[in-house]
Amino acid sequence: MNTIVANSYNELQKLVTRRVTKLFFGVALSIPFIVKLVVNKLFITDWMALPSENINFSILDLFITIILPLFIFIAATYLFTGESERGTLLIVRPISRIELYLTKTAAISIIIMFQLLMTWLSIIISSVLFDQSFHFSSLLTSLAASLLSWVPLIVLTSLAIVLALLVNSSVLAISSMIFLYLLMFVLPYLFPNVMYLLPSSYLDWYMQWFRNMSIQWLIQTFTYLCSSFALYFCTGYFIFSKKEV
Amino acid sequence: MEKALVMTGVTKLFSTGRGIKDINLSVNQGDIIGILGPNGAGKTTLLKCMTGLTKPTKGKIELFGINLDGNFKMAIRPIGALIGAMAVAENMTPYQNLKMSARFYPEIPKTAIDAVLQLTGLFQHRNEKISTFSMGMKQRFGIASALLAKPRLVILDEPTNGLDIEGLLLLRQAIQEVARQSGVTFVISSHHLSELEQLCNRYCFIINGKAQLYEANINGQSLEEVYVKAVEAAN
Repeated sequence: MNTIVANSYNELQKLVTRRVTKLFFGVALSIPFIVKLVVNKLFITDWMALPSENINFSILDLFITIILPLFIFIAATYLFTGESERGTLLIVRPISRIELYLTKTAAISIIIMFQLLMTWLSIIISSVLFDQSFHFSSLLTSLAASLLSWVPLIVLTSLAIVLALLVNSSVLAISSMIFLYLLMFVLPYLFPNVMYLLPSSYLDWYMQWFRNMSIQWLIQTFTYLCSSFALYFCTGYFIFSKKEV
Repeated sequence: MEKALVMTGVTKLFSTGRGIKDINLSVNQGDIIGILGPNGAGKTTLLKCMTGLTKPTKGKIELFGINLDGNFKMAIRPIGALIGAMAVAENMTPYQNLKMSARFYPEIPKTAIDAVLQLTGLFQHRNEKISTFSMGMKQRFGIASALLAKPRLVILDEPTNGLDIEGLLLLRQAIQEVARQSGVTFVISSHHLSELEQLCNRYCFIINGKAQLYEANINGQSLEEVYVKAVEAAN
C-alpha cells in the first residue's frame, strides 16, 4: 500500500475510533432533525415565515461556524499537540515527515467532508419528513453549499494545525485556538478592514455563489483561500519538520 | 561483513549542555550490542539519532549503507524500534495498533501480527484496549511492534523496564531466537548488566556523551568490572 494512503487510513482510524468524533457524527445527524422538528411541528411562528431553504442554510451555518471549527480544534490538538505530549508524533516507520504531516492534515479534512455530507443528508431526510414542501432543487443547492463550505474549513484546519504545533500542551492548544477564533469575530468590529484577511470571514463563502456575485470576485476569493492554505500548510510543515521526540 | 549501522562523528547537544559528542560506532550484521551508561549520559539520545526521531547537530548515520538523513524512508524500512512511547493509539487494541503499523509493509503476511503477539505472550490480550494494559504488558506490546516487520536491525531502549520475570525470560528467548534464526542485529540499551551479559557480543559505554566500545569477555572480566572501571576512569 502506498505510504500516503496507508497513513491516511491510520490517521483516520485514530480519529474515528475516538468517542468525541462519534459524538460529532451524532450531532451532525441529529441537529438538523431537531431543528426541523422544532420549526415545523412546534409552530414557531417567526421561523414559519422563512422558506425551508433558508432554514437549511441556517443549519449549515451553525455547523460551519461553530460545530465543525470546534471539531477541527479538537482533532488538530489530538493529532499534533496530543501526540507530541505522548511521544507518538514521529514514528519509526518508512514514512517521510512531509507524508506524515500531509496525511494528518488530510485525515482531519476528510472527516470534515464526511461531517458536511452527513449534515447534508440529515437536512435532506428531515426536509422530506417535516417540510410541507420539498423541492428537488433544494437537494442540489444544499449539497453544493456543503461541498463549497469544505474549502474554507480546510483553510481553518491548516491554521489550527499551525497553532497546535506551536504549543506543547493540549489544554493550552485548544484554549488558544478557541480564543483566537472568537477574536477573529470581534476584530472586524474594531478594525473593519481586517475582515477580508481573516479565515473566519470566508466560512460562509458558499453564500457568494448563490448571490449572483461576479465570477471575478469568486475567483479572487478562491485564490485567497488557496493561498492562505498554502501559507498555513507550509508554516505548519516548517515547524513540524523541526520537531523531535 | 555487511555493516548494519555506521555512525560517523555524530554529535547532538542540547541547550543544557548534555547530549552526545563525536560518536563513532560501527555495528556488523548479526551483532547484539549493549548500550550502557549512567543516567543522563546520552543513551536514549543516541538511539533516537539512529532512528531519525532526533536530528544530530552534526555527523552522519548510515543504516545498511543508506544515509538516514538523505533517504529516511529507504534507510528506516529494515529497522524496528522501541524507544519511548509503545503504542500509536492507546484507545485501540494491540491487534489494531499492529495492523496500522503493518500497512507500511505490504510484503509482510497477515499472520505476522498474530505471530509477534504469540512471541511476546500478548495473543490472549489481542482484543483488549492498550489503555487497560500494565506497564509490563505495554512494554511487551512495544517489543511486538518493533519485531512486526521482520526487521534486520532492532533498536530497543530499556526493553526490560516494567517486565516481570516471565517477561524477562520471554524477551531474552525472543531476542536469541530471532538473532539465531534470521541473523537480526540488535542494539539494546539497558541498566540490567546481567541481561546484557547473556545476550550481547559487544558493548558500547556512553559516558559523559562519549562512546567507548568493548568486545564481550575481554580478559575474562565480567561486564560489571569493565563498566565500573570505565566509569571510574572517565570521572
